[in-house]
Amino acid sequence: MKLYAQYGNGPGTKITDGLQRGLIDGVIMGAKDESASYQRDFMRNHSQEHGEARLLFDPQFYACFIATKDRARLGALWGKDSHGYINGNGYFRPLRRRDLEKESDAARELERCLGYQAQMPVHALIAPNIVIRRSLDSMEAAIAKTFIRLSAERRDVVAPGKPVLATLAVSSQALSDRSELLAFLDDITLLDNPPDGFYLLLENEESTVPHTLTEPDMLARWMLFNRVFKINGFEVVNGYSDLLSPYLGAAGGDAGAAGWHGTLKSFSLDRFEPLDGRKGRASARYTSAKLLKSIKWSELEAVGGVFPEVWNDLPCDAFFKGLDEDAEPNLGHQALQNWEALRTLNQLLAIPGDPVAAIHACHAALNEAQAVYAAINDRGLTLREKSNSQHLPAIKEELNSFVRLAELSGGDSAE
Amino acid sequence: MPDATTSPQVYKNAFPTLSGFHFLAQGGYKLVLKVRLEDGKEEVLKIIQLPALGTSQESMAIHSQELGRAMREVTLLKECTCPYVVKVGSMSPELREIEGVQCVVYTEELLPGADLQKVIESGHRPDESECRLLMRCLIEAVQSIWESHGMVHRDIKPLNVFRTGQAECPFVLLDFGIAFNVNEPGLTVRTDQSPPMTRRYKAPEMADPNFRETLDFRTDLYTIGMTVFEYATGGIHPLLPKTGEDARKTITRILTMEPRKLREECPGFSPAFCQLVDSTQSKRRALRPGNLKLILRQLQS
Repeated sequence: MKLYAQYGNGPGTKITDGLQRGLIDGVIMGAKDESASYQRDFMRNHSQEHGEARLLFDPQFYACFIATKDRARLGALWGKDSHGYINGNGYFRPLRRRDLEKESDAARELERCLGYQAQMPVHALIAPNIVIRRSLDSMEAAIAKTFIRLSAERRDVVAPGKPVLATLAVSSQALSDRSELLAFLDDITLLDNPPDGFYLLLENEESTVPHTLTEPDMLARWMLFNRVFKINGFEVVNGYSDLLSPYLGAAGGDAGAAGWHGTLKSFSLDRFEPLDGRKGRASARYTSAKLLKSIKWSELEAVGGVFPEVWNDLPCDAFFKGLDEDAEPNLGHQALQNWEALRTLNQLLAIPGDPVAAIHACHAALNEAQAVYAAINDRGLTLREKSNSQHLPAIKEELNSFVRLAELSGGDSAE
Repeated sequence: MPDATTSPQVYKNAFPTLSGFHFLAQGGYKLVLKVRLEDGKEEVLKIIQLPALGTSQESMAIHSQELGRAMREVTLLKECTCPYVVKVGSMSPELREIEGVQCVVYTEELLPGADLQKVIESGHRPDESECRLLMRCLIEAVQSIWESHGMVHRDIKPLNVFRTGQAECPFVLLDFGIAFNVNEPGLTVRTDQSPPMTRRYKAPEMADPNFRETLDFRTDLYTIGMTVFEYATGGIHPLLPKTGEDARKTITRILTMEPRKLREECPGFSPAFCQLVDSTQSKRRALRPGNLKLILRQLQS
């Protein structure tokens, strides 16, 4: 499974470093975070310097409804040197739902957005779409399906021959109805002119990374999308998937993505909403492949000496060792370490073409993590809510649910 | 209704221009005979019995429907250019009375060889390349009727596939009698007969009374997989025992039972092919490999 950097605010040299170290396979640029001219330069330079790296551009069209709000945080989506549809350039503009209800509306927006991307050195176009927030049997879902259905057709008009990934962005709430989900999957896998793949986004209500899985069956259903799309011959790129990437890869996903801020590890429209108070600076975190979780730097200092298996024993561990007292790893080093851990987990758990074996591997890894957590607890060391073992039973349950949904045999027999 | 025991004279009376009547098969309200035309060419005559024409609206609807169904089948076969779909014969659908029973009759080409059911029963065990070829022919046939006509065959099974021994069309799909056109309204249910579909080869979604709302070619993909499985294994059904069991048990198995894996029955076959066949047996349509072009590429590779 490939791993992409989910581009966001303050990239510094993280992406270049990640590519040079072979930790990531490409970048998903975010339209909001850089001006139009900077993004063009960045992509041109990276395509020249890292020819093998995959470049994608998330147009973040899904923020179009929020854009009608006062003080919406649109960044480079709107204004000077932006991606905004101003004077016939760009594609982004504030829209209301009724602006997209006709098929011709979707076709127009697709052409503008895909045409805009076709001028960039991207390896595949990402088609725009809205987020289905309430239900898969709703007007929003109908609009989203129209965008998906027309993605390849409009690509053929503005950029023939260029691969196109249709965006499918769904909130966890909209995934809750199982029969709606199955009917929706039936529909979107029956397309006359299918796209080459899907860019899958699962929206969490809050932009912080949930410390456990907040909605039952959410991961299982996200995995089901991956499985269904893979069986139907699509490329599947999961955005903002972070530590869930290996499970999505186990289900058949081709790629996952993670950035350096919490808002780049879990997809939420919250990052476009007007700011509601200031958010504090996040503590430094270390992603432990053994624990299948990231833990705070201070927790790593407490636990790592007694339980060396919490360390990944990989090159980026060096960023977390031998630091001055009171110093902590910088955000760039944390991002590299996180990618390194994710890459390792992807290689371990996302066994291509064999979901049954992959699910077994996931269960085995979860059992190992449980054993390490149990040993940590036995020593009287306490990890905080965001770092403790709460995720393990939740993920196991999700894997079992996925096995049932995807009609696979296996389940938790590795336990 | 005429059947296997009906005297040839009865047919001669009903079809004065035909000769050499030879019984081939009977199923539901249909009878199939081999016949010789005036020019000496042999074809397959299909005779579909209609219910007694009463004055009720239902009976009249069924009459016009059965004629329409036959016309639709013939039109489809005429327009379909796929070599793996049976071709029409020289007699267009028409109403005839045979032994006092109203019937719809028409002819199709007579294919050499035998249906897969007979081939299986003869003890033939195909190798993987022959099974791949069978799957490819059936997928192309289904792709052709779906893409150009919006039709779902709905009754693919070993009995409805002919192994011809001809290089240009080694396997041919026949009997489009209950094919469903997604662009046309639903058909009247015949209460004088049990449903024409073979329960043993029913896709899970067909058990939903509202199946017409969502039916698509993936139903045929399921039955193609089932047919290939049976052919490859010498008659083992992915879900059911060899001999029949009651309807409720059969439907329960179709809806809930995990199918047998081809790899376990044919260990010499490649994992990729086994996986492909097995994936067609998913209960949920979205989990079946719906990209037919991709499947065809996989089968040719």
